[in-house]
Formats: sequence, structure tokens, C-alpha cells
Amino acid sequence: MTLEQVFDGGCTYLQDADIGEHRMPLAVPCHIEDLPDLYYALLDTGSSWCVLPAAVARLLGVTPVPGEPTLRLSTRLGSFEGWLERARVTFPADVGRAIDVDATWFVSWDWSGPMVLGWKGCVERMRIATDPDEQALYFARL
Amino acid sequence: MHFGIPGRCGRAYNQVGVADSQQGERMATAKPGPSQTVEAERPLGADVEEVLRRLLALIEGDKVEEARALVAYATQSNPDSLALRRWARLLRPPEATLSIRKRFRDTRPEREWLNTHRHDYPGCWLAVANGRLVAADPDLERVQEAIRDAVGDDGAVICYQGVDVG
Repeated sequence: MTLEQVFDGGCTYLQDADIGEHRMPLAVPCHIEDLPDLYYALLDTGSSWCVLPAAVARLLGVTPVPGEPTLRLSTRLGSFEGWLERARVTFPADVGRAIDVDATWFVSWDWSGPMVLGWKGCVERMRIATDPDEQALYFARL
Repeated sequence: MHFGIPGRCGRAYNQVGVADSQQGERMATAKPGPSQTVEAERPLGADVEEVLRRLLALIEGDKVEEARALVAYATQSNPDSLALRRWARLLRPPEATLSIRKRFRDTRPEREWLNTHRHDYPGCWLAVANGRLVAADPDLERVQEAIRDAVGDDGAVICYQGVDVG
């Protein structure tokens, strides 16, 4: 059987990141909005939302909407209060073209873990594939 | 799952808290009884505060598709509600497009450094620029300050290295 897929680009991920007591296999490079730094974020298809570290949220100037109730979300690192934000994440390309995703992030001032790319918040509407031989993540628009 | 509001004359809602259309039609043909009020007949989508409460509960319960359906339904009934429009935007499925970002750097030296050394810094955020470590600290804000001092807006590569559990 031959399956062919077309991708816009591909990047190299870091393997076997250790997050607390949980080992997560893929840390993917990404830019957030127009911030100059490149972050390695954990690609976690078991997480609904992306999670933005508080320090990055402060750089972006995002704050909760006054008067709006907070969300309490349960994570593998515990339960956190916060809110949702929309922010662009860019996957840079070592090969091909970079893509942007208009992603939804959970932000909590108390979040103590890494930056996370979740399923409903980001990956749901992308075509992705991994090649462990190259530590490559390939991505495409739908 | 049933999201009917207790005391609201038995109006039926489906799994996303949206009024069941067939039952709504059936009820629309019935004359209100003594205990039924105009308020009780309002569809869920018309009560923004109630919709927002249910939205939060659905999101907290990880029922994202149900939340998306509820906010889409309620926004039709309340197109001028800024709160609902904000939630509709937040819950909209992500959209991937070709990047508008102009500036990318070759980060292979930083990636090579991270591949070799990051496990030596458990529990730290690491910043690497020009192939060398700029900062390692459990506090990301301190790492960001160190980056600005060291390389300004040229930026660095940042990675969180959790505690190695072997």
C-alpha cells in the first residue's frame, strides 16, 4: 500500500522531554505571536487546550477579562484556575514553508509546567506526521 | 445527558444545552398552563448569563464540541452579545495558514546544545542563543530577563526541562 500526503513544511523536534513525573515524547519548536524567542512546546494530543506559561502571557500583555468568571481546568500537574486566550503560534520550517495556527490557550498565573500544544486548541485542524528517524514533524494546512 | 433547567416547565435540551427543536415545536402549539410563564418559555440561547454558566461547565468538563455547539446556537440568538462573540472566537476550531512571520533563524546550534545538555538542568527553563547557554532557572521570567540582557531582541531558543525521572 502506498499512501501519499502533501505537507507545507517540516521541523525538527526534541525527543523525550521529561515533565515532572510524566515523560512526553515530542517537544516542538514554535513562535508565539511576534515574540522574538523560539519556544519548544510539548505536543500533547491528550490535552484539549494549549497552555501558555504565565511569563509568556505577561510578555503578550494578556490578562483575564474583568468580571468574567475564571475557568478551573484539571491537568496532569493538578487543577488550575485561569482563562482562555487566542494567540497565533508559528511552526518554523527546516524544510518547506512555515505555518501559523490561530490557537486557543489556557492561561493560568499559577501554571508550573511547560508550554503545551493541545488538540482542540491547535492540532485538530492540521495535518501532521512524524518521522522518528529524522526527529521530524511534518505539518500542513487542511 | 440532559441540561434541562429545573423548574422551567420541562423544556428539553439536547446534549449541548440547545433546545430540542421538535419538542420546541410541540410545546409552541400548547397553551401555557397556570404555572408556565413567558420567562419560562424563553429558549436557552436567549439567556446569556445562563449560556455562559453552561459554557464554563462544558469547558471545565472537557466537552469542547458541546461548548462549540452551544455558543454557536446562542450567538445566533444574541448576535450583539460581546461576551458570546468572545467565547465563539475562543472556541472556534484552530485554523492553519501559511505563516505571515518574516523572521526565522537557523537554530540548529541551539538544538544541538539542547540535545546534548538539557538533561543536566532538571526543573529548569533553559535559554540558548548562538549555540551556548544564556540562562537556566526554574523561573521563566528570570530566564527572559537574562535573554534580553544577553542578546536583546535577537531572541533565544527556550526549552523547559522537567525533572528527569530516569
